[in-house]
Amino acid sequence: MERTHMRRQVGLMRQSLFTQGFLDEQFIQLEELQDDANPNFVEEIATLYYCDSSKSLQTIEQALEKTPHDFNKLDNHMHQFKGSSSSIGAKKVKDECQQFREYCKAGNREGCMRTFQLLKKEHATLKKKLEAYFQMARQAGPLETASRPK
Amino acid sequence: MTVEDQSDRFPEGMRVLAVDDDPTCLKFLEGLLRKCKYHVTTTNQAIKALEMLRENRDKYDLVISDVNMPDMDGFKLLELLGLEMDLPVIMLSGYSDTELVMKGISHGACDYLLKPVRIEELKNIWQHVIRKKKLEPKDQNKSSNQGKACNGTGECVRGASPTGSADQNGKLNKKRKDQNGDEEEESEDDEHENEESSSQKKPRVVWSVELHRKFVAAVKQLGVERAVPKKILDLMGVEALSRENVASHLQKYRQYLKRLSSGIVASLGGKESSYVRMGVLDGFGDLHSLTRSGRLSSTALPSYTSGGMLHRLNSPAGLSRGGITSSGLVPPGHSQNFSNYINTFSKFQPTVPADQSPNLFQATPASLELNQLQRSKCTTHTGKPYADNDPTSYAASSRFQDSGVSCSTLPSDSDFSSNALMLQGIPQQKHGMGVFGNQPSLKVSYDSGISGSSNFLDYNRCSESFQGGAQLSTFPSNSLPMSEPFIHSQLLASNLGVSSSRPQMGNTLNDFSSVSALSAPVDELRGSIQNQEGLIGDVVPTINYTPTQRWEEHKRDYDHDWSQTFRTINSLGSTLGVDGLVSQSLDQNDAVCNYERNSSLFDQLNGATATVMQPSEADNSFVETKMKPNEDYFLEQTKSPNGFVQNSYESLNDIMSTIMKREQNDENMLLDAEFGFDAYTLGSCI
Repeated sequence: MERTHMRRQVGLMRQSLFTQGFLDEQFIQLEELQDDANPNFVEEIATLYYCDSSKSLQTIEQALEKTPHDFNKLDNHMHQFKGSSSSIGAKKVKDECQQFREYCKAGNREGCMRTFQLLKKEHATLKKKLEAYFQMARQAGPLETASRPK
Repeated sequence: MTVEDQSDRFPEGMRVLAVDDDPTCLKFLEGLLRKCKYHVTTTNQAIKALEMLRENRDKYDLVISDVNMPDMDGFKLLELLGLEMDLPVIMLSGYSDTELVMKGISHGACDYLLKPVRIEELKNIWQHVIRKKKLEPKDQNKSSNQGKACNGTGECVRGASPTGSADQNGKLNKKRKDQNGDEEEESEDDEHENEESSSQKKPRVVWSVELHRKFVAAVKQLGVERAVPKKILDLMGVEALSRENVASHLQKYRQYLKRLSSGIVASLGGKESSYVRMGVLDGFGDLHSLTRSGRLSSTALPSYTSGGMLHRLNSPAGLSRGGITSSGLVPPGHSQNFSNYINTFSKFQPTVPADQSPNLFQATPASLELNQLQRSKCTTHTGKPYADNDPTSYAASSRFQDSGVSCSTLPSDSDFSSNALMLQGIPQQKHGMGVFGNQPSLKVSYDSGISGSSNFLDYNRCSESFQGGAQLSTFPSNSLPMSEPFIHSQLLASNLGVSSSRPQMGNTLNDFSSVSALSAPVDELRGSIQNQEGLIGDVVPTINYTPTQRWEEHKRDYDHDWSQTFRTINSLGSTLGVDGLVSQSLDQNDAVCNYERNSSLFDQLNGATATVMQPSEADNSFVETKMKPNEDYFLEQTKSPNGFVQNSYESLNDIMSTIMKREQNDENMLLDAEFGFDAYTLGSCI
């Protein structure tokens, strides 16, 4: 019972991540890749993402602090960041990345700074949510992680 | 899991090497590939990937690589792989720009996927492996191979599964042109080898420059169309060579020639590479020069042996053809060089030059660099630098055509490149190269290879210095580790660059004496080349086309000259032939350049450098000797530079010594063996 309840919780949590737009289809692809051979694939890749993306964000932040802004470089960094974010299905983060790039193309410094702050926020939020999700999933049992949103 | 099993279940078990600097993407890709039941190996560094592949190319069937990587440009890696290893490579990128996709294609990619990758797309990538296997051995082999090799799994498997072994075998056995009695054996061997990939493979034949030269001479003698492996083998008189070896080499050679004539730049790079690879790879598996981080040095440029340069260089066809076509780069500056180059170029003629080329290439580590440079440079700079310079700018393929040899100084290829370049440059006299002017026809040859690189090297400089062999010098430093073919291309490219650097020297063709000056520019070139990676690639392609045609025309003419030159050189040259080549091609400029280049390319050529250096003394005399045969061509050109030539020799010696010192400090100078790679290399570079 407890188990079932937990599983349901995990399921709901997962569902909400999708409905709230934190995650997208890509995340499901990741889940599909998880199997017996790779039982913690999703969590592993998410961990990897957060480890790597923090560095990227730092780089971008540093670049943003320099003036004048080298939009090209910023765009390149962001493209890279966007790539990895979309690889794990971090939807909101990806959207902010896109917005950032738009501002870069327009040479809008203010816009870039603003968007970057939002991006960091989204990035942190998702991280917390995913951590909670994974933790609960672990407790509930491995099956949950592979379930699809209903 | 034995190979047999794998082949039975192909595409399952297909061995993929995934390269992506982003760990998240890499892991995701790995997951997807595993899901497709492929056997995955990952690395986040392009350089590491190259090492792994060079170490054992047969361990992998397919490579998937990201385009934007910090240590090396994906396109560059692509080129190198294509040339060196003839492995199918799939590009991966978050950008879907048409030009990028185009670039991928021109650099030889089998496919271009967008990130994030979908599993559906990955499920089909095995087709590229099969396709490549099918395309490699021409009809003859294929049918026999397939028939025999089938382990009950059908062609595909045979072709696909033991990719490595098949490939290798393919090289040796693929074309079983002379099947008769060998078929049974071969098939058995093949199957055997396929099944036991690494353990029982026949030792891969290394098509050294010497070997290739003999091969080309034999082919020439028989006539390209009528040449059959058996006869070629008999003519060559090499004991250790088997008919299968010759057969597969011939096939590649033919492809190379075809590529040259059809002016398909992209294929040039690819095919050449395989062709080149044959010779070069074996020897220079470690040419790392190409690692230039993704400078794609333009597809045309043969992969740098180091990094992939060898590939290109190796393919003689590539060299002569590839490089030449675009060559135009031959540094106008060196009148002497030109003569040399021209000689070289003439040699490069698809049929004839090939022989010569190998020699040249050997001596020209620089060319390798050039190639690299070209490659890298080409892509980016393709047309830019030349805009100003016109005469020098290689970028404009048209330019090259005029200038033809712009590369004259391409020392890297030492013989080849320089010659090719020279030839190329010569025609370009219009531009002011004086030297080139006489040899419009020559242009065809090398430029392709070198011009590409030169362009990049010094765009700015090119315009002026075009003439300066200096251009070439710049290349050497850059990267042309690639075997000769590359060198040429590189040289060409470098020429461009060199030329630019020339201004220092004194611009114009008469700068032969600038050889000494070359050293300086070379350094500059190096720097520039390094940065320009992609340029060459782009440039070269453009250049190649036009020059190619020219080449063809003049081939005949030059053949004779070149043959002589080469022969002379060869005889003069040291074992490597570098000496001979060196003297021939660059008059030392090349040598000089080569050395410069060596730093990057020459990892493998290390030996060569030394060899090359030595002849400096001999070069002078040699050069003079060389000049003679080409008197027709070169005299005109050299007339003015005569004074320079002499000077250059002296300076060359100086430079040589300088270079030598430098070389010593450099890591592996590809020079030796590398240069020899084959005439191919040069051509292939392009």
